[in-house]
Amino acid sequence: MRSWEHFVAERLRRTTLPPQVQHEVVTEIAAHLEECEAELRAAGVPNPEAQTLDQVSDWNALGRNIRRAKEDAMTVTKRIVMPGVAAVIVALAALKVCVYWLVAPQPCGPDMTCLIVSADGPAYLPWLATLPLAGALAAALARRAGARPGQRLLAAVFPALYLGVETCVLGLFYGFFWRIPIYWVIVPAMAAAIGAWPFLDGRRKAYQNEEETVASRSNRGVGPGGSEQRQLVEPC
Amino acid sequence: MSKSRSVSPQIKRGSAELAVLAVLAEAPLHGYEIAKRIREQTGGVVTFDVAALYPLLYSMETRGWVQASWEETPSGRRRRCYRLTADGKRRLTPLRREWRDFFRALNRLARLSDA
Repeated sequence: MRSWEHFVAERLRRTTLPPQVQHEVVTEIAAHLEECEAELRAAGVPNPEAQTLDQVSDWNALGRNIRRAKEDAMTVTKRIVMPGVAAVIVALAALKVCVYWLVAPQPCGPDMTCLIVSADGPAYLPWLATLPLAGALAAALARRAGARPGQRLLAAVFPALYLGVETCVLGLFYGFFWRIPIYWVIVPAMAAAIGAWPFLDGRRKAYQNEEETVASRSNRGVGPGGSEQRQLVEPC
Repeated sequence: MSKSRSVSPQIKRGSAELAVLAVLAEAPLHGYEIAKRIREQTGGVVTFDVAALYPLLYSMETRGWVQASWEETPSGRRRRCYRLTADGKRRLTPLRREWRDFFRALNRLARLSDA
């Protein structure tokens, strides 16, 4: 008989769940398939292994569906929103500091001075230079919370998303200018993404390494074997 | 038709939820037994394969409708046993009513019982 645990672990290795959860999922599904095959074999059904394999036509889709099912709203908050909010706070604090140090108040009315912040002003480029740090912080926090690479990137560009919303709101009052979304949304998003870049791959490798360890522990020396031929049969 | 009697648009998903919750309302079961029980009780009309069953079970677990725990069988096999929670029982009652209303409505429409 096939080693179902090894077989399932191999097919679900890209699911990127935390190693313990992944191991439990593999154990559970392997037990199901093993039981299914044993029952078909006992019933004298021809080629029980192929019939058992018919339970899953697309292992990648199953992995994706399991991952989604395991993630609740709280997990998403922990993995994306909280690191993203941290990045927004850092980015806004950095903007405030840059404006405080680099922008001189200008007269904007009788007996009034204003701090005018624009993309061609002195604070923009220094602020932009801090955004990779904000992006890196968000991606690192998201990775620590078990986020997938896409989720880490999303958390990293949160400051740009925040500025995008703010741009839209201000645009309703002052009108839209094509330069604003470029300089205050797209370019900041790219800067934050650059900072997040080193953190987009690490945990995935860690998961895979740990998963390989778990798989090698659970693999009791039985090779993959078995035919891949499929038949149209009723699932057990 | 009043709002309370309308059927959810996610009818397909709902039917799967109903099937799993209904068998778990009878007894705690592990995944394979759930699929087997559903197949047997519906005369093979409703079947769940691995690809359909486990994402649904995990999703129900995340929502707190079922609770899972590892148990060891006399043969030494480890099985993850699912049992219905209080939230799951609360979910099952309106789901049953909704489906009963749906089938009654279909019956009035297509005279299924005369077919």
